[in-house]
Order: sequence, then structure tokens, then C-alpha cells
Amino acid sequence: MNSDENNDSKNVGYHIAEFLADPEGLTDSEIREELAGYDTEKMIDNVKNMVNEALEGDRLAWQKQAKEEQSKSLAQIRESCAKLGEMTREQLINFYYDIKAKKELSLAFRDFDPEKVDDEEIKDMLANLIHLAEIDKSDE
Amino acid sequence: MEVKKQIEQTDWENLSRRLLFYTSKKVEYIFGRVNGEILLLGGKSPEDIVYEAIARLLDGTRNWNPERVSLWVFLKRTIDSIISHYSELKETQSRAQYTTVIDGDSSEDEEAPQKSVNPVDSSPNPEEIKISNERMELLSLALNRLLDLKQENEQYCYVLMCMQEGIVKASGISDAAGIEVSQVYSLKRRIKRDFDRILLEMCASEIMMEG
Repeated sequence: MNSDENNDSKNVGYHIAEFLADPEGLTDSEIREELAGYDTEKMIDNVKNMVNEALEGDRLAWQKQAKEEQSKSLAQIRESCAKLGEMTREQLINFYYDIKAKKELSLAFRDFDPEKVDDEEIKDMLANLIHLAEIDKSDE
Repeated sequence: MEVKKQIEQTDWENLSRRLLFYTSKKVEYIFGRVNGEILLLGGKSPEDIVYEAIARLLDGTRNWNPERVSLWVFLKRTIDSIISHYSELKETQSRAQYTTVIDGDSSEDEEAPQKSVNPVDSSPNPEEIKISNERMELLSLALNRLLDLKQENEQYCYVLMCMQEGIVKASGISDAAGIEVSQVYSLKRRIKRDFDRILLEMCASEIMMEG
């Protein structure tokens, strides 16, 4: 067999393998029957563990970063809240929008997403933060 | 975040079974069986190859773009890459099979560039390459034999000829041969049974001749 014929048979052979190996069109029970010699339950458990570990590792890294950002953001907010009594109305409204714009605030209140709630709820949240700031002030 | 969410929401039980089916059959057809057992490529079982493909997704060795290709296709391609390492069928050759497919979704390419996907610590054994080359020839001969045997059955032969040309997806065969997809699936089952029988006969007669 010359080189061209050799390559042709390799390509054809590969196509055949691809066609016959693809489970497309087979039912679940047909697939299970063909896998009779394999410990599929063990394999599935191993795969699920791999996936969970990878996702958990990613989640922990994200949580750590989120906590650091949250602390920094809250510190800045507390500092501003301590000066609320000195703010003009315009400054108060700007401060409100600044707070509203801070995405990391969603972490301070776990399920709180400022983009998904109405203004009254944001004001409530702001009131909570101001309360925190007042508690901090009273501790001084 | 999109990728993570998709990974979280995937039915890994179903996907794992399909991947194992694909891997074990692919290895069996490309390398055959040795003493009745599927060849371990570089010492790896079909399950090991499935784990390796999934690990490459999870550790970022291979990037998946869910907007371009499904997770099933992505992992299948990764498995092809691992298997191709042990034969002379290079990844570029295997990728060419997908670009010739007439398919509803022809955008089955992955993002580039990729990190190296071939393991450094398990080089292909020359014996494995020789086995796969001989096997490819055997598969090609088996196909020709089937075409002879089934020449009266037009639809059956159309499917075989599509396979010869690299059209391997049911939708592509349906378009090319004018056969309903459900009929393609039905023919595929018959073709697989017939192929397996012919391969057994050919291997048995080879052994007898060597004896």
C-alpha cells in the first residue's frame, strides 16, 4: 500500500471509529448495556467529586476575595456615615447614589442586590448602615 | 461565571456514561483488543481518559466557550486529542473530520490558543502506533466488505458511503443521503452489529493464518 492509500485507509478507519463510537441515537439502556463490564457508579462518583472539589476551590477563593472587598467597603461607608450630620441635602442624595452604585454591598447583606430592589429598600439598608455608624460613634 | 454555572448545572451522571461509552468504543475500534481486553493507552483505561479530559476542563488546561460548542462536544474533542496522542492520527487530522461534517451547527471549534494538551510523561509506544495503523486498515477493509455484502440495500450503503467521506453525524447523513434521522439511527445500530461481526471474523481468520 503506498503512502496515499495508507492515509486514505487511516482517514476512513478514523471515520468508522468516530461513527460507531458516538452514542448519538442510542437510548440510555442501550448505553448502559454496552458499559456492562465497567463500574460506572464508581466512575460517576469520581467525576462528581472532581467537579465538586473544583467548584468548591473556586468558591472559597471567591468568598475570601469578597470578604476582603466587603470589609474595605464597609469601612469607607462607616467613615462617611459618621459625617452624615454635617452633609447638605445634595451631599446626602449623592451619598445615597454612591452607596447604591457599590456592587460589593451585596456581600454585606448576603442576598441583597441593590440593582434588584427598589429605593425604599436601599434607604432601609442605608438606615441600617447609618445605625451601624451611630453605634460605632457611641463606642468612641 | 457562565462556564462555572454551566458546569454546576450539567447532568454529570448522564454525560459521564456517554463519555465512557465514546472513549471505550473509540479505543476499541482504533486499537482493537489484545487477549480480549481493551488496550490501555500509556497505561490508561477508558475511565482514566475520561477523568483526564474532565480534569483539563476543570483546571483550565483546555478552555471551553459554551457559546461556541456544547460541553459534550468539547469533552469528546478533548478525548480525541488524548487518544490521538497514541496513534499517528494527529489532532489536526481528527479536527478535519469535524469541518467536513454537514451539520446544523458547524461552529464546533474551541478557542485558541490552547496550552499543551499532550502529557509529557506518557509518550506513545511505537507498538501502539503500529497497532492503530493496522487497525485502520482492517476497518477500511471491513467497510469495503460490508459495501459488497449489502449492495442491494441502498440506504444502508448510503450511510456507509457517508461514513467513508467523513460525514459521521446523523443530521449530516440525513441531509446528504436523504434519509430520516430516525432511520439513520436504526441503520447505525445494524451497521454496528454487522461491523463487529465482520471484524471478529477477520481477526479470527488472521489468527488462523498466522497459526
